[in-house]
Amino acid sequence: MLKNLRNYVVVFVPAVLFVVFCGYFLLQIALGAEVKVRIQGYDPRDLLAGHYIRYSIDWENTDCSQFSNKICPQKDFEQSYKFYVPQEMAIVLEREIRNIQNQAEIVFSYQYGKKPIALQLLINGKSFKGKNIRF
Amino acid sequence: MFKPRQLDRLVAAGIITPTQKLQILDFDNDNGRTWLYRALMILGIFTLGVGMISIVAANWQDISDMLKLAAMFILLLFVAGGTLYYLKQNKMKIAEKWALSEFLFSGASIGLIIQVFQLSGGKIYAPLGVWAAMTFSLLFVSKQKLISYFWMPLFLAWIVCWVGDIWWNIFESFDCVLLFFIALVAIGKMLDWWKPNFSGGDVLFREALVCLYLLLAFYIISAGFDYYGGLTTLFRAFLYVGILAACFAKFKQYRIVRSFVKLAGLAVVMLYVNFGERFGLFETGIGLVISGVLLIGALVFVPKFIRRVLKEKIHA
Repeated sequence: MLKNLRNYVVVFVPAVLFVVFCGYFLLQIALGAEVKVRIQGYDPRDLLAGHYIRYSIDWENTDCSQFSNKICPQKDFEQSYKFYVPQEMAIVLEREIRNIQNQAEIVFSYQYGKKPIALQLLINGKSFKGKNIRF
Repeated sequence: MFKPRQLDRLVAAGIITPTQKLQILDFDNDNGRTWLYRALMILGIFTLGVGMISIVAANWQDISDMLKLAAMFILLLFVAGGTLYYLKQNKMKIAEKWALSEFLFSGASIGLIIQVFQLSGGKIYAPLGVWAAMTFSLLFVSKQKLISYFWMPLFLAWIVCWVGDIWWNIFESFDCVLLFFIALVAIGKMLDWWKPNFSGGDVLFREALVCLYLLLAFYIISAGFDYYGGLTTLFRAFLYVGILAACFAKFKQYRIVRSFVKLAGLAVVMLYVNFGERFGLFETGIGLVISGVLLIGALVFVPKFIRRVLKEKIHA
């Protein structure tokens, strides 16, 4: 009986932890407030490597009034991020982001003092690939 | 695995008969699928699986993120169920192969979480730690070493990156890095003594020892060319090699002692290189004489020491 229980625990831990991780991130998204942050290509030569875009945050052009105390919490954000994109949209997206006339933003779910989670990429206010809207 | 040429030499020396040679080759043919073959086959199947998952996850826009996560959860449940089924049947070898699939799909599931929740910008090694934590329980599936052979390198890779990142200057400190790996070797050995049925202890011991050996070699070569403290590091490396060789000789682990003796030989060569560079031994007549004496001394001393160790091994 005890050995059976041990076997169940040992084998099902990865699946249980998978659910726990997913639940944790869903909760973080639900608890966070949505903020829009301006971005720029991290390195134009490596704008699209594989199925993601490397970008850094352009704090100079970000509206800091959306954060508490109207101060951009730069320390809570990393220097650079990746945004995963579907393969077939890569060329379209590359063209849109390289166009300097466009305004590229990332919508984050953000809680003060915690690491933000990227939700969607906006180009001129239109969602490229979001949780709710499609480009 | 026996090579026919090696067996020919044994036949010529009269150690085995030609019939025995054929029997050995037949045995090898029956068991021809080596560990490496099996490992590569598993890796190939896994890569194929992950590639397919990635293609679906990245391109099939009609599938919602929740559905992708649910599909991965079902896949994890399926392989966990398979492992449990064979554990109950007491078919340990098959159970362990299912557990290995579970281990690999757990890694894929972390990749999926990263992609779905757009997790990036953090530490590049963090997923390794999460993967190791997520699959730690699988080490207890059976007494075989298959899972340990995959889990331990993952754990060691994560812990090295983590320690190096938290205390980045630790890698400037020769002693800290070596003591860290010596501690891992000791923990592995103690685990092996304490819980002989737990294969993780022995695998940790062996793999941490390989890391320690490679690190020592790296430091010896670097110090020979005057990096990482130059001569000071080289002399400390001698000291560590001596202490470690003595410790393993005490426990009659002569194969490991021989490895450390080889490192001592490397240290002698690098000391020679260092002195050569430092004192211009390769530039003057006297310098060349001194360097020649040093080299001959090393060539006489090191093989003598190896022979002594070998003798002790034979008499052990």
